[in-house]
Amino acid sequence: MADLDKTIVKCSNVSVFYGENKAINDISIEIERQSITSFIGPSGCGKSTFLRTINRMNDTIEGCHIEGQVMVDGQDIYAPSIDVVPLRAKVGMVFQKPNPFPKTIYENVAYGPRIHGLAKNKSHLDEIVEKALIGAGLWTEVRDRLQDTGTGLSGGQQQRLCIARAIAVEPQIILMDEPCSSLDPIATSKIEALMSELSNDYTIIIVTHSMQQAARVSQNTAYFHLGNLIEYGDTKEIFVRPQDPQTEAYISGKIG
Amino acid sequence: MPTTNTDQLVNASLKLRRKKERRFKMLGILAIALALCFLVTLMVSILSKGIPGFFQYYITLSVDLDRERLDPIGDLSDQSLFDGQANKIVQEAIFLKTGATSRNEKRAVRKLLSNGSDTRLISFVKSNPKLLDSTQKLKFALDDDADSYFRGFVKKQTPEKQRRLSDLQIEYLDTMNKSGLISYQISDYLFFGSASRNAEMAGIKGAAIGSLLTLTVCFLISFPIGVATAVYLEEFAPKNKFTELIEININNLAAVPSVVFGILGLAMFINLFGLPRSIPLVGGMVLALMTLPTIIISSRAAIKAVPPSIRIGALGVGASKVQATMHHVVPLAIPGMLTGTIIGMAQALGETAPLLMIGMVAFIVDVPGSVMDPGTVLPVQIFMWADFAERMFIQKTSSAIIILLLFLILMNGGAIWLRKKLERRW
Repeated sequence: MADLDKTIVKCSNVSVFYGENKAINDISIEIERQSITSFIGPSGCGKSTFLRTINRMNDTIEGCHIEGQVMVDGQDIYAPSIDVVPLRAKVGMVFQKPNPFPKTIYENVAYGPRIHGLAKNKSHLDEIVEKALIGAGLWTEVRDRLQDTGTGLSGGQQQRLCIARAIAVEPQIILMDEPCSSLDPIATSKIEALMSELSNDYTIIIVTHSMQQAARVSQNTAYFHLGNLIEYGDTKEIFVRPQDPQTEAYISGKIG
Repeated sequence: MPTTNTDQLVNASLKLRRKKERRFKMLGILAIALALCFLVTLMVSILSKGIPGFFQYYITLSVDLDRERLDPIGDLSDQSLFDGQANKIVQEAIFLKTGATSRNEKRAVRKLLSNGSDTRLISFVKSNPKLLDSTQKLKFALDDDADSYFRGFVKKQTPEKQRRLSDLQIEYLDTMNKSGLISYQISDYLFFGSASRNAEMAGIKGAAIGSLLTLTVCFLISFPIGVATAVYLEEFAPKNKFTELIEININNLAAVPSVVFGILGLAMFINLFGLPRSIPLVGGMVLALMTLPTIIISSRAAIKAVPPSIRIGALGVGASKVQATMHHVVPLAIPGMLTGTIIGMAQALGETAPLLMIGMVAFIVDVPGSVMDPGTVLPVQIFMWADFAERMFIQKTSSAIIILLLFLILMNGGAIWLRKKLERRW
């Protein structure tokens, strides 16, 4: 039981197909609660696809289907009885390009709690929004202009707004798909610091192209190659003593 | 290191290229100039004919508003007023001014006045009952032949037999003009009159209201259906052979000649459903059929223009598909949808052929009070007027065209304004 508690996502023999193409090949992985796990690997290796199986975002892609079992918090999320709406409330997501809604900052954050009916009244909703913005480290910057449009913020601020939007519904897991790839180094370091802080309360899974970033922020790292999970383990171990020659080649910059 | 030889070759070819570019530019300018030329010709032709059509000649007469004669029953009811001698009173007033006494003279003078003069007097009495039993200076329209004389279309030099006015009538008109009884002013009949066989009384009011009613019906039917279709096809429909077929059909329908929709409307709404002919309801439904493809296509384009990241963002926080569409995609696409709809409506406003098919070309004097009353629309009115031979109808046709064009410019301007105002960047 203790073991199950420590693991929040458990994937067994997961394969993902785009039409006839097999994008993910028979992957089994267990992800720890309240930690940061990073997925690394060359472009097209399937790490983003695999990330999106965890909150069923792949459902939105035509012709995509999945084999195997994905358990989130002890629940098979591909069981026929599962509704994706509560699942996505539980497993939030932050995307590669900051995509705030073209609405006010307040509305961006309040949207999730509002559709899920999390707020009892207006002042409670205000509280939730404030808490989420504080959590995303954005509160001090936007407290005086909550009614400005979210798209008017800088790139890094927009990405933190998206994080605030995700944590406003208090998910258990936050999936981040290359969240810093369109940001400058300063904004990136802010997001990284934020991730470390958030990992006290949330489980974070991040897809990244930057190996330094994976090494800096994550406790566990998984290396993907051509749809296969090559190696998975403690980040330090992977970077210092990779077991697989392919991992070593990628980490040392020989391929990729 | 390029040799001088390459340089020379490049320079030589450069000359040729520049020449070609200049020629291409000249052709472009020529094409634009030609198009502008046509536009100017069109505008000059319509404006030169149409602007005089906004005015007409009136004669000022002192009318003795005798209560006994105008309102024999004494209750100012339509019945009483039309039983009265309004016609006679107006005629007496003009006989007095011209000094016509003999039967012949009287007949000549009588024909100079518009047929609608008695109605005009009655409506004046109705709105000013307090002025009864006094003498008032009132303006009455001249008959269209007399009007044409002042406009110079009827010439004295023409032999009497070949013109519509006799020498005697022309003499009367000249004397009245000299004594300052004739005035040239904005035609109230054009704006407040309805269809009439008498050119001087014909107006666009009935047709304008018919157009308004027809367009309202058209909008109420085509906008919701069009937008709903676009949203469903774009966001929810599975992509398969069947939806592909629907899509191809919608695109083709946009190119179907409008008269075909008229035949469809005639067969379906009138023959099958048994709705009356000539009513704005049927007209609106026929135009809705015609406008639907335009609205669907432009709405789909507007929905497509919403970046997928917005949808994914909404789905990512746990919005259902319908919520993501209704909360985010549709509000962002609304400006584009409205623009397309206004342009579709403008098309519908100018449409004649399908309405001819469902009988909206009937001669209807009454202004339609509801979508179930027979009526006509502006372009059909123009079409009908263009058929009449009277000089004045030619001018009124151009005037009506100007008014129609103004409405179209207004609607298209509205579409542009809306697009500019609601346009969002992300």
